[in-house]
Formats: sequence, C-alpha cells, structure tokens
Amino acid sequence: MKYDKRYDPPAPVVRVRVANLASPSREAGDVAALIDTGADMSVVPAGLARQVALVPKGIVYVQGYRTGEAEPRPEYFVRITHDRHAVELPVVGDECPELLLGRDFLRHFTVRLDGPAQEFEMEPGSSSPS
Amino acid sequence: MASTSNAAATGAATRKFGLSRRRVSGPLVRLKTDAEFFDSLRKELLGRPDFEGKFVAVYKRQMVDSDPDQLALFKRMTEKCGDVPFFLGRVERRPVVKRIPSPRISRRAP
Repeated sequence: MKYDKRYDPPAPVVRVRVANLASPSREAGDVAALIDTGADMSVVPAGLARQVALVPKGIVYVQGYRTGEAEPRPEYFVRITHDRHAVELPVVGDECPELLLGRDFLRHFTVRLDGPAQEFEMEPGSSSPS
Repeated sequence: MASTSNAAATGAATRKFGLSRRRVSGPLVRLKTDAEFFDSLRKELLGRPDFEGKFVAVYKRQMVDSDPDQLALFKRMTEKCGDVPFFLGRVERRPVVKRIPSPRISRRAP
C-alpha cells in the first residue's frame, strides 16, 4: 500500500471497520486509521465514538505530547477489523482528528514500512501475541 | 529519559487518582459515581491477594464481578447489564500511564 500523501511527510494509513463491542451492529465502515507505533494504546476520535454509540467503561491515564502530566480519558471497548482480521480491544477516547492504531492493535499484525518507496505492508501476524 | 518522564507522569496520576478531586467532563461524567466508589474500595482491595492486579466491575455503586482478564469481564458485564455505563478498574497501587506521544492527541478530554 502507498503512504497517504495528505500527511506531511506522507504516512501509513489503512482503512478499517470499527464496531461497538457491546453492540456489534453499531459499526462504522471504511474508517481511515493512522499507524502509530509510538502509541501504547489505540485512540478513537470522539466523533467516531458517538457514531457507533460507545459507552465509557473505564478511565485511562494518558501522557501525551503536549501534556507532561497524565490526564484521564474515557476507555471504550471496540472491534477493529482490517482486511477481514478483527481485533477486540479497549481503546482511549480523545478529541483527536483521526483513529490512531497503537501497538495494542499492531501487535496482531506484521507491519513493514518502506520509507524511501513510501510504501508499506500490513498483514495478520503468523502467531498470536500472548 | 522516557522512564523518568513516565515515572513523573505516574506520580502525578497517583496523586490525582481520586476522580472526586479531578475535573471531569464529557463521557467521564457518566462514570464518575462508580469510579469514585471504586476509588474508595481500592485501598481495601489492595490488601487482598485475591483482588490485587485483577479488574473489578462496579455498577450502581456495587462491586459486582472481578476477573484478571479485562476483556472477559467486559463481555460478562455487558451480558448481565447491557451496554450501560459501568466501571471497570484495575486494583493496583499506581495507575498505569499510557504514553501516546502524538501531537494529534488533544489537550482536553472529549
């Protein structure tokens, strides 16, 4: 897949489906998701959380780029599907502009980034993480 | 460097673990009562080896279930109560701070 050139510099972005794990019929299809290997957890933007009617079930303390101090954010449970491979996981809610796929999601996949060619591959991992 | 900064953040979160002492807004308001109840139970549960490290489910100010597997607990609670606000908290001495060092993360909670 090609990097998304709407980012500067271009970035690896995949299309995923996101469902409310408590109510899987509440699903958003074809959602753009930025691969973010620096993020401990995946992050769902508030608009998407509203779209699939996510209800918070916990609190996550997040230390971001702008804040030195950890801040509370709502925790939601979702199913994220990429290319027929679904992962069920807790995620963080935030007012960020797009879905971020953190290492909690990426640990289920093999991701190869080719910076010079601005291409990447992402496929389900051959073994399940423990 | 990263561990120092994370330790500082963890310390800050620990000092502010009680939601009653925090500014909460948006979706967190719906959890506040059960989160505060969990906070009041936390010290007692920390002294019990059968709870330490486990996730606990609080619904309408009652502890109703626990499990070492957060996802399993979520599914069981959803089956029991439906998709309503209930609180899942981990019994731990210091809350784990998740690092999401993206400039795309907002300053304020949604």
